[in-house]
Amino acid sequence: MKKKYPHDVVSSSGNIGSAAENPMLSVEDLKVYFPVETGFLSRRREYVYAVDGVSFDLKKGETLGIVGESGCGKTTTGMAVLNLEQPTSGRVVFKGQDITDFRKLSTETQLQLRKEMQVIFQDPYSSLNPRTSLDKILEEPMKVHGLYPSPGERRDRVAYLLERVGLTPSQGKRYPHSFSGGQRQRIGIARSLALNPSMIVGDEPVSALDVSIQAQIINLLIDLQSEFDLSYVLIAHDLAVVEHISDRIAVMYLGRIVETAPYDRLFVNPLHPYTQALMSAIPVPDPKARKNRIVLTGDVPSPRHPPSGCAFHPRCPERLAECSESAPGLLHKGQAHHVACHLVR
Amino acid sequence: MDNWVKKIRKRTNLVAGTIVFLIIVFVAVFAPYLAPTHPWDDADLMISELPPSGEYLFGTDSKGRDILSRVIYGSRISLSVGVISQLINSVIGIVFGLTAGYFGRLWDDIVVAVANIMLSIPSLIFALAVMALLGPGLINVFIALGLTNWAYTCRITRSQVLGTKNQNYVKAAKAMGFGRCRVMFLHILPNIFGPILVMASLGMADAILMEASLSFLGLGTQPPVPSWGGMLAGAREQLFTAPWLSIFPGLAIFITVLGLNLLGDGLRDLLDPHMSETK
Amino acid sequence: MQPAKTVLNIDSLFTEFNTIDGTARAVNDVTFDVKRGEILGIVGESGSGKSVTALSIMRLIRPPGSIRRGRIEFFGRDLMGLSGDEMKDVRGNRISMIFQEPMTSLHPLFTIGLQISEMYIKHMGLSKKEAWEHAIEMLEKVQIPSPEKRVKDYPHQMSGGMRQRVMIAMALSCNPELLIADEPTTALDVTIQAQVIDLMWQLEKEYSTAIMMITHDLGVIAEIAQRVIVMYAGEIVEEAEVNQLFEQPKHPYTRALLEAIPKLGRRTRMGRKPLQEIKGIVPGLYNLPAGCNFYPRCPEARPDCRLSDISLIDLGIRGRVRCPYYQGAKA
Repeated sequence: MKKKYPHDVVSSSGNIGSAAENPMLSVEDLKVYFPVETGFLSRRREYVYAVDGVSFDLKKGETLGIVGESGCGKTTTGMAVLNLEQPTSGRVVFKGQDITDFRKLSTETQLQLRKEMQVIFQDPYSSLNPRTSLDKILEEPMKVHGLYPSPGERRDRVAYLLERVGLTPSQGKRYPHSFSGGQRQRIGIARSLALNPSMIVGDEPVSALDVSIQAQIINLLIDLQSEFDLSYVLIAHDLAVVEHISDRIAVMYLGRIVETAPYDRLFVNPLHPYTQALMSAIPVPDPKARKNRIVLTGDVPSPRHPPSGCAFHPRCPERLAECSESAPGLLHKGQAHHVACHLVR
Repeated sequence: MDNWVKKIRKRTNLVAGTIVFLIIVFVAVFAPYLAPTHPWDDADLMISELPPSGEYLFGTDSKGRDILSRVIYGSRISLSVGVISQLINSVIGIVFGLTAGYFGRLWDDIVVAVANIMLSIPSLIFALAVMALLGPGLINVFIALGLTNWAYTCRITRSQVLGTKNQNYVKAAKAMGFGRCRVMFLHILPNIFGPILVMASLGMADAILMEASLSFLGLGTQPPVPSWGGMLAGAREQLFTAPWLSIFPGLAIFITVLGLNLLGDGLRDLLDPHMSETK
Repeated sequence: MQPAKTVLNIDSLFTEFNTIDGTARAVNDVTFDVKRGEILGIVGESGSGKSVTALSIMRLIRPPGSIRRGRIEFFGRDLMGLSGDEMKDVRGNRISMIFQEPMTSLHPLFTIGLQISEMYIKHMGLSKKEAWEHAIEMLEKVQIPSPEKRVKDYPHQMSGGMRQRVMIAMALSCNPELLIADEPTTALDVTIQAQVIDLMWQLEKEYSTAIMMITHDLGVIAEIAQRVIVMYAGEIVEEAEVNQLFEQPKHPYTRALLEAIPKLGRRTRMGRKPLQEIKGIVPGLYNLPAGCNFYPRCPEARPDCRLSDISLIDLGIRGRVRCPYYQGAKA
């Protein structure tokens, strides 16, 4: 594909949208494979192709939403960006610095990078150390990084953070188990802000919460973004949530980005058949809108044995003969809209 | 706090075990005040092998020493052996288990292999071998027993670490740039301490039994210092003529070990998260 | 057409959990009925009592929980009065239930064919061979591709969506009059969820089984239900026909809930406005507030809402609502 349409294809450096300014984060052809051993007596080594060639950029102050179903590699992508998973190949560049081989960087650089990039997890129950009080959860990172060196400053900072995420400083002595799911997620957010990061990766930050709480957290995340000058990578499966928060959205399927576009472009004109199906599959809270859905047949294939060619072709309602043979590259369709599909020329 | 009181009241094992343990600690600490006579200086051959009576509650032994006093002083040996050698066991086991589980790879393979070898050697034989190498004496008993049972703690620590290290709060700690030692000892260890504590209380019972066995075989505490195992060993020949010589130290071992086992079981029930969830 | 026949009638159901923390009133004076051939949606957040209601109907409440009082009439017969054996016969045979996590509901060591045919053998007394054939037929009905082959699979060989289909096949195998589905699509991906919802629609048409669909997802409710009950903190706060509920929600909680969910395409069309939040947290069932349970979070609360318990107001064909100010609230 690349050779056929050189002017159309995004270069492998993947500067989607922003050629001029330096992106905060740039991910190039990221691959993360997990080895698995199978067989009882004869051990065979296979690979789970969790992330298989993902490229994207994140500008300062921008929110990139990554959507996809379970097993599409969205969480692994996020963890690889944070270097909580070791990339198999590809490049992760943060603020101009190549951080792919994180462990080879000097300790100071590692600490500096950790300070800049933070994470919010999905499950508010397992993301807080049950034996640590709120104050300690928030103070510890400051101590380790030597921020706010005097105890008084630290206390003020903790109080400020707690208040900012909607808790009261008097709750600081309490332990995580005495808080509800929504409150714990607020604590997780406060912790991620403790080090004044410039980028936060949110791994399904609202999907474990009750509907009435979800809105609170979404609003909080949006408010904090401008206040703390944050860039977000937001991983989610709920397209409605992603549309509400993100500036740009990348749709992933089986380890690859199949379509990426500004949020409004994607909703007005989804080009990839998978994006279309995904959007039409979402139940809309309006009984009048019961519509003719595109119901995909079959299941998501295992990332251990991804289909040949375009990974979506076995489920695609509009597949062509060539779809099973060659994988389409990401094509630029104007206005920062990219799609990887043989149907879109 | 109220709930804790209620929970503890429900657990007879824990309460009984704690009471027995505290009594033994009390006896060991205040032995000089509790014992009616000195355990070896007051030997008087005139009164040897007297059966239990109002004057000598537990009777006297072949050298005319008060058995009650000797049993009371013996608690000091048993308790210190239990506590110190189990402390050594726990430290070794925790350090190896924690690092093996956390780092994985080759280090994990090595630790697991060594622990498995340790577990396949009968512990008494191993302790005997170490004692033979170091020679008899109380300090050497601590060392020998401290090196014997760490594999149990190691194994339990490692399996707990494997379950805990993928929790998100551990990932979050890494994402904040916390060092490995901080993550292991401050974030993982406090959350897996329950099972280790249970293991330790059971291990203490084991160490006390082993010390008794070693002293029985003449490798433990050296006379005239009384230890329960040593007293049993000395009473071998009078088992039928003067049974009180063996009954009382034997009972002391039995009660102590039972108490510690009850304590361990009780702690397990109390600290097991599955139990506390269902309440 | 005959008037809709009532399949299930629940009258003043109270279910409690007695723990050392106190008494949790998980289901508090719940009254409703399910009619033949309808899909009744029950929607609520965690702790609203929707799942406990379902388990109470099946009489599957285990200590420390207990059904305090209430009648559960299934075709006019009170299930509370049945013996354990009689209840076993009702369960699976006449009332079936499917759960959120299909993996834990299937036995991992038996093939799915065996597990489905067991339903036929136990409840309908068929021979092994007949039961096996029925099992294949059932798998075909729930649209599992090449059922003759898949029937020999073990649960772990199937995907989440397939397992949920198997659960549905098992649940429908004995032609039950009532199917209780407790968050059947929550653990599934959206494209698979769409498949399962479609399937339930078709099966409902074919068998005219009454379905009680329990979920937290208002989108799923809008897609599938005909009548909806909204629960909050153990109580029914609103009941209405589905179009009414979404167009003219009466209870402040329902209104707030509908405002709180992000809707696909809304930002693109109308720009980004902050989502309407419901302040505060879901109340703990151990210490419910006095008066209206929703009072502390209600955007339209009035001082007298906390004075006494609010009763459910019957509005005839417009449903029921537990708020005396449901009309004036908007003004």
